[in-house]
Amino acid sequence: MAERPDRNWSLWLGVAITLAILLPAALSLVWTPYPPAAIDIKARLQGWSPAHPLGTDPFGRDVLSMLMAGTRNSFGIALGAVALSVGIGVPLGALAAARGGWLDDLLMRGSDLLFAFPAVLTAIMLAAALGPSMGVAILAIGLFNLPVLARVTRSAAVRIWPRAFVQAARLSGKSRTRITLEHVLPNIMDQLLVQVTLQLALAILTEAGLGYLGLSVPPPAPTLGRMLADAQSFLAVSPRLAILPGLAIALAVLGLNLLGDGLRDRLDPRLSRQP
Amino acid sequence: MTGLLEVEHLTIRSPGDPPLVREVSFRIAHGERLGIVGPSGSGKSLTALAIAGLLPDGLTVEGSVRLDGREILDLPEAELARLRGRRIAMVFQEPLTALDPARRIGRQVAEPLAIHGLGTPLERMARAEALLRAVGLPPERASPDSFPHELSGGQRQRVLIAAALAAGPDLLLADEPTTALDLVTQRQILDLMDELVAGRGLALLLVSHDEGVIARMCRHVLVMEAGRIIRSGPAAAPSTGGAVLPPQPRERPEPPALLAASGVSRRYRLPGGAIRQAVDRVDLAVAPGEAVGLVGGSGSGKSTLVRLLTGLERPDAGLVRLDGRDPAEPAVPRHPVQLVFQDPFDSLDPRWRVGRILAEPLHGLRLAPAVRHRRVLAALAEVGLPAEAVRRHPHTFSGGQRQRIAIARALVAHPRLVVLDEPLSALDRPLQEQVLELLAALRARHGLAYLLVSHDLDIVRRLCSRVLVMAEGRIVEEGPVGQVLLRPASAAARALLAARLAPPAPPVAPPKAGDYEP
Repeated sequence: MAERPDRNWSLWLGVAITLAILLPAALSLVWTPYPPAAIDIKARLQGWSPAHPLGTDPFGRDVLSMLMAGTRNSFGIALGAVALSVGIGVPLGALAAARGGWLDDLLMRGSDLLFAFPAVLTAIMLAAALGPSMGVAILAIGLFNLPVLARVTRSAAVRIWPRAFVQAARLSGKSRTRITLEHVLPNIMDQLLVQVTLQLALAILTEAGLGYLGLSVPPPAPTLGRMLADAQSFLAVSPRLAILPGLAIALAVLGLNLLGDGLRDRLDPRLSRQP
Repeated sequence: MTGLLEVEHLTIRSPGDPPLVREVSFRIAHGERLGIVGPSGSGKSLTALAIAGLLPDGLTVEGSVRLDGREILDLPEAELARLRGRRIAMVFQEPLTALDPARRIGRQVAEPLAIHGLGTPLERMARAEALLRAVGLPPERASPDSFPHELSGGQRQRVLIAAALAAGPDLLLADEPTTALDLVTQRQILDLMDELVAGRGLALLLVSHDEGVIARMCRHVLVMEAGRIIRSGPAAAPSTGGAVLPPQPRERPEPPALLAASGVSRRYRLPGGAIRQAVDRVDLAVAPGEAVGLVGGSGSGKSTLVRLLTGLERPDAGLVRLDGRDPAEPAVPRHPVQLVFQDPFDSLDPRWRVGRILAEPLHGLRLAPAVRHRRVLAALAEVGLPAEAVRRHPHTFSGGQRQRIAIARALVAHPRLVVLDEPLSALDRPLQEQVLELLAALRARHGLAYLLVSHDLDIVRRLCSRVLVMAEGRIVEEGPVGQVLLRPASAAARALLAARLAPPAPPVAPPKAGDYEP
């Protein structure tokens, strides 16, 4: 019989692409070819050259440095947002599953309500109230992702609770909190990990959208979204300026999605071969 | 005439290992029935999976499987998918996992029709309803709009059978279709399959570890062992193990009850708004050191009663007293009672090592780590497992070993009462025997009280002196095991006795003998 094709290439391709994007971004923490915000009007809108491998923008800023720092900012915001939504969403979902009843209903309807607000709308409201900043972007995207994680956690956890080993733990006199920490969460960790990876990709996309609208980190700090927005007026003169950050966003999202898919294949026993 | 299905020299191996199935050949003609019987690991399920093209990855197949003379073993997946459901249909062992929990049963029954593009959506739903009616699930008993979790195990198996028959296949592969069911339900499902298969002229390949099941359904049987067919011929009545009534002394003058329940009731609200009285005013008492059996068909309320007695759930009305205290109170240490669950694949956390699993019931006792470790090792030794088991994960053990681990976990906290919830029904016969002996020995050694929940009267007879019969949430009969077995007073007890499959009913299948090449 024909063997199912090995689908792990998606995991490794995802790892490779993600690293290819992340490593330069991480490098920008300590080193970039030029300070990303350094304006050099004499060198404006240059093409490829040894001095500026990816050219310069209308202010003469080095595009490579901006891409590195911009990716770092985007990833940082996305990570912060996902951390926020995991930190709140997973406990809430686990609580809803452990308690059930009216608390479950209340939490899940609350997350429905939150889910009904698009991240962009939340960000506009928050930015209007607090002014655009990294914190506002993290909060807006995090609030947007939170209900998804709460719901994934809850639905995975309610499938663990009726299982016999959980009942055995209850017979040992363990509290619901303790059972959640010791039995439920470890058994749904695979699903959560996959979800976190996919949410990270979504968060990067949302951050790019917010940056494009000027609702993410304020200038002069570069973000991929704002680089795209700034490139718009020069699209005819220098399409490179739009293509490069666009490519960075697309690759980051693609890499993380492949990674998430690959992880799911690897971790889900129904899809993968038995160890 | 060529048969419907011809299997020749079928050999299945995982590369590098000795074959799991070797040189298996047989044929099945249209409308004919064939049973394959063998212990677990004999390759009988793999054979059925290979015919359906559903072998797990990493296994290689040699030989030939022909359907109507056409080789199907090396068909590409897309072509195989066209055969499945349409020509070959399958019914699996686990009615719980074989159904999609998130889809209504009517849709699931209609799915094979949709996959093969038969009929309009409306026609498909009408057909699904007719099929559900044919398998004994008319809308007034189980609406096509219900979800699998609203049905009992037997009803789920009926849904699976309806789905298997939906697209009008010629060959039905049934892999342990009744193993997960209690005996009464098993009997009903077998009768149903018999009627449907005969009525539609289906060919049937029935795989089971239970010769009684095969003998009920098929005239011819292949006996497999270690991947080979070791015998083929007419299906025989199973040899019934010489079960002797064990001595049941321990008569004490009215000892105070260890476990007592009075007027215990529990209701559930069904999705439709109807109310189901799962447990209805049950009184019972278990004395220290006593072994009591609790029997009843599926849906009789046994499982709910167990949850109430162990404090996993609270009764709506009535009192449960375990050692004089309410087991559902959070402050009450639970270790006086422990449970051994039915499914050893579900009762051990797959992420934990055995050592940690076994120590879990000790967690409230504040023992020193060394003492705790000694208790764990002692419990492992009691159930006959080596000390090195503590470092391994549950998945490295077989079903029988896992059930031993589950028993060790129940013993480690030195309980006075162990509730055994169908502890043997997930195991095959030889393992059942071993675990049964272990349970009897442990009880004698520690003076444990057992409450044994089972549908199998033979097992109850081997272990218990007194038996309670439950039906529709009530205790309908109570008495010494021998008396209930010989002179059952209630309809429920008679039904359980009648369902024991021995003596097997004469095979119903009329078709002529096929030729079997061993």
